Amino acid sequence: MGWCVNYDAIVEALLERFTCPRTEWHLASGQPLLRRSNERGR
Amino acid sequence: MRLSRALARVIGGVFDLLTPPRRSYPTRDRILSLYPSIMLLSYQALWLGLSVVAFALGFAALGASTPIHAVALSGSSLFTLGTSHTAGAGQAALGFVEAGVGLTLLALLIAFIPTLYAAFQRREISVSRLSVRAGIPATPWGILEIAQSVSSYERLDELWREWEQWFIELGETHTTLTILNFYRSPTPDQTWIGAATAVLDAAALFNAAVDEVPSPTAGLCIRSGWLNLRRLADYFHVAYPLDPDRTTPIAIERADFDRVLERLTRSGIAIVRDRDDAW
Repeated sequence: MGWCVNYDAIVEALLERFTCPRTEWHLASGQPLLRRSNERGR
Repeated sequence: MRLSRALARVIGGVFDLLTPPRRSYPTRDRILSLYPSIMLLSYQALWLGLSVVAFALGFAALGASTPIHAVALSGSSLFTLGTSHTAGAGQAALGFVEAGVGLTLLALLIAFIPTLYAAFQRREISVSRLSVRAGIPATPWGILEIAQSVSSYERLDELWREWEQWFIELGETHTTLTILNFYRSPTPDQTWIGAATAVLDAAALFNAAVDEVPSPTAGLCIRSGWLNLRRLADYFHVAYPLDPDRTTPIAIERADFDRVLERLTRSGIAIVRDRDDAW
């Protein structure tokens, strides 16, 4: 799990802090990837 | 400074109440887009209000007949209206000083807004440009698939360089003009942090999983992103692992990672054989 480990926690926290959506991780198949699942924060 | 923070907390609390998670994201996005502008106006109102009160106390000490007269003198001076007349050299001097303070506050705001907008525009141009190369919303697999289908991976180096610079500017502007962090991208399906994440993920996926020679430019882009987003995280007291390694948990599940690799394979992108090593 080292491929994105450097920045992963930081972007997760910033996405949550500034309320960014999870839609970016939806595949065209309609199945969402289980990342960027934040819906909180401002 | 404490008052400004308290004001930010109060207004932030109101916006939290207005944007509960049960509301749709576009609605929340639309409401939250008002937050920084309201904050700016509120700061201005706070500073002007405090100036009126502080100088009114000065006018009262210098012989204003009533508290209301002191406030009227202070307001008249701050906004250079001239509706109330000072009496004596002391009040006149204080009026000049207050008029200077009022004009300075106004000039600072007038100068601040174009600076803010220029930085916002520079940030958003790259985010919008990314939609050409990554789709809307930007995805890491979109970046790799479009690169593979319309050109060659060499063109990706341009993207990595552009975003290496973007991260540097972000770290500089968003830690000095911190309200910029709250200015949202113009449409709900494009967010500046989402775009940055897509670029970082694409660069990391390319170097880890695509069967090509790893790109040093992509590596520099990731490093630039990591360093500069860390500056933002530090500013906002966001917790993160200081020294992550391969054992540090990440937000992506292995199954999701494999699904992306399968998708890339179906798109004609050569993936490394050892997926465990890529992971």
